[in-house]
Amino acid sequence: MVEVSNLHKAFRAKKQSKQVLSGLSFTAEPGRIYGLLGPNGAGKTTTLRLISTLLKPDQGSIRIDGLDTVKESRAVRDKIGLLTGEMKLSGNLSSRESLRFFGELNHMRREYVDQRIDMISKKLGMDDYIDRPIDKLSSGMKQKTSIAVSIIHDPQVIIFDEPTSNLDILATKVVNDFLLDAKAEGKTVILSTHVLSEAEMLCDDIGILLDGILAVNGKKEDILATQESGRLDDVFFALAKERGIVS
Amino acid sequence: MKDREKNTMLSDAMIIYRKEIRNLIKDKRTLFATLILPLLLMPVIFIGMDTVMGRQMDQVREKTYTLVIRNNDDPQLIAVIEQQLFIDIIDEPVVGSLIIEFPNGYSMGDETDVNIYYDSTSQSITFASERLIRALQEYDRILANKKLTEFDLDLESLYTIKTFRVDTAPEESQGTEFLVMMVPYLIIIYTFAGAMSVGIDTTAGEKERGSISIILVNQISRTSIALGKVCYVLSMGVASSIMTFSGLLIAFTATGGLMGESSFSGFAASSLVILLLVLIFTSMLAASIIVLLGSLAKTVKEATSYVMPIYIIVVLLGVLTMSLDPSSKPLLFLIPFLNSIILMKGAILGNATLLQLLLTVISLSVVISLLIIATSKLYNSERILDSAVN
Repeated sequence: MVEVSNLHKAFRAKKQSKQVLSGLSFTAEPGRIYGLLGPNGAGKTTTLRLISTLLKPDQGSIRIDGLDTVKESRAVRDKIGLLTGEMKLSGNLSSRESLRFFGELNHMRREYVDQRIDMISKKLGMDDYIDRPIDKLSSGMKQKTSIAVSIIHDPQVIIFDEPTSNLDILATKVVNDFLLDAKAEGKTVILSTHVLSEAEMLCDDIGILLDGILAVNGKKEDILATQESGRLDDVFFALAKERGIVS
Repeated sequence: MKDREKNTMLSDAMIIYRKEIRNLIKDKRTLFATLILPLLLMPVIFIGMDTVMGRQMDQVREKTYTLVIRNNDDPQLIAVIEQQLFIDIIDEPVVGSLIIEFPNGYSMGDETDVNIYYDSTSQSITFASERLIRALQEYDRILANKKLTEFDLDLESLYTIKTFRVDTAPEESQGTEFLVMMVPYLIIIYTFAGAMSVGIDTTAGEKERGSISIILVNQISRTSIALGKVCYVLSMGVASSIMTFSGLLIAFTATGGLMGESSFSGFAASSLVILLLVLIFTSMLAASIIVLLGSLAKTVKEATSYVMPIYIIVVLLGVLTMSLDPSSKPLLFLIPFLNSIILMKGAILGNATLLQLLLTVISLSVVISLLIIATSKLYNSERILDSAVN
């Protein structure tokens, strides 16, 4: 379980401070997918980086299965698997070699890493190309490898930041199928996206971030019920209009 | 329960190091450019120059030149010219002919000016004109000797002083001028160039590929990640410089020391040890600079723009110090890069001292440590996540 409480974060650049998150609170539960939605610059990536221990909050706290992300960051990193849309796997190493490398980064024993690789490869259908150099793989194959990298250490919490941005329809399906499988396995999944149809299809709980503030947070059904159409994009645009983000 | 291994900071750094090396070994192009090219470049340039120049000289020497001699038909003149060149005497000049012109009415023994006409755009004709000057000087000596014999003298008896130049440099340092000039320059350039592409790729390239955040969300410390990257880049810098040095060694052995009598054969073992130490520490310095600047940049392009000015300064330093005499001023051995160059020159000449080596190693170690600490701090800060996509 991921518990985010009263999160504040500002970035300082050229003697100026920009408040990115203001009092963010939400909970993502095991066996459910929490969708963090919002336009570009709303603070989605910053939130996920804070959860992933890459950044430290200015105020507030994040607990993952009861562990504090600042005080127990190393133990937290053991529990989370991160995948970002900006990650472009490349190079001459094969998928297997890359996975072994990330296994080493997680201090896993070689035999255990190899067991995990075999298991993940079967699950994601990577057997045919797992020993091929990553540079020679299609975008779908690369995306499966990226997913495999993020779960090599068998994390309980899966954090995907815009995982389908720049992906074709086939590679997108790979990601979406994986997320549904993870949910079925009882994992806690947090997904950030600005593709509302994707969120509507995958997520159980939804938070809409607008200018660093969580404008809406709750069960998908309850949120959709606020609009006559029952559509997420209508919920989003109504909120954006209310806050003067769109006219 | 997850199966875990206990690791230290250094063994964690080696995880990053091994991965980068494995990736590089599979990248044939980078491997060729970083390691094989420096090894081949010097032998190819030197052996190529040696072969081409040798062949050209042979052609020039073996060629028969057409020559017109005006106002002097002395057979002795033709004989001395034939000692210098293959010639074909003709009456009227044609294209490519040389002309020796004595003044009208010249008679043997007259004090006179002689003109040699030649086409300076032709290398072979220029060479022939120089040989004609030598022949005319010899002819002048013959005529002078003839005059002296009338007074029962000869030219040799007029000279009373014979001058000799004796080299007082240690035997192993003699004939090393070209090495002293070129080796430090080439090594320092290749140290930097060898580390630059891999250094930028492993830092700014990692950011551009968006993989830095995934690497940071693991069990190894950020300091280990920084250390692993520095170790990788410095290995490539060292390897590249050793290859350059080996290439020079091959080139000099194969050509017998082009551009003079330079040779590595007289090198003392201590000189080679000093050269190797300087090479390693200079590579570490270059690697530390490149990794820090590459990590500060958001993109490969930005990293290149940070590193290039430093590289240009190093190249300039190499050029400006080419003809610099090795100095014994201790202060100079505290200035990074300059100390490496001066110490390398001293090592080649066999007069580098332990104090100079110590000062250089201490100075470089301090700077390298500061750079690694700065890189580690950067990796432990939120700034390391700054990338082009944010």
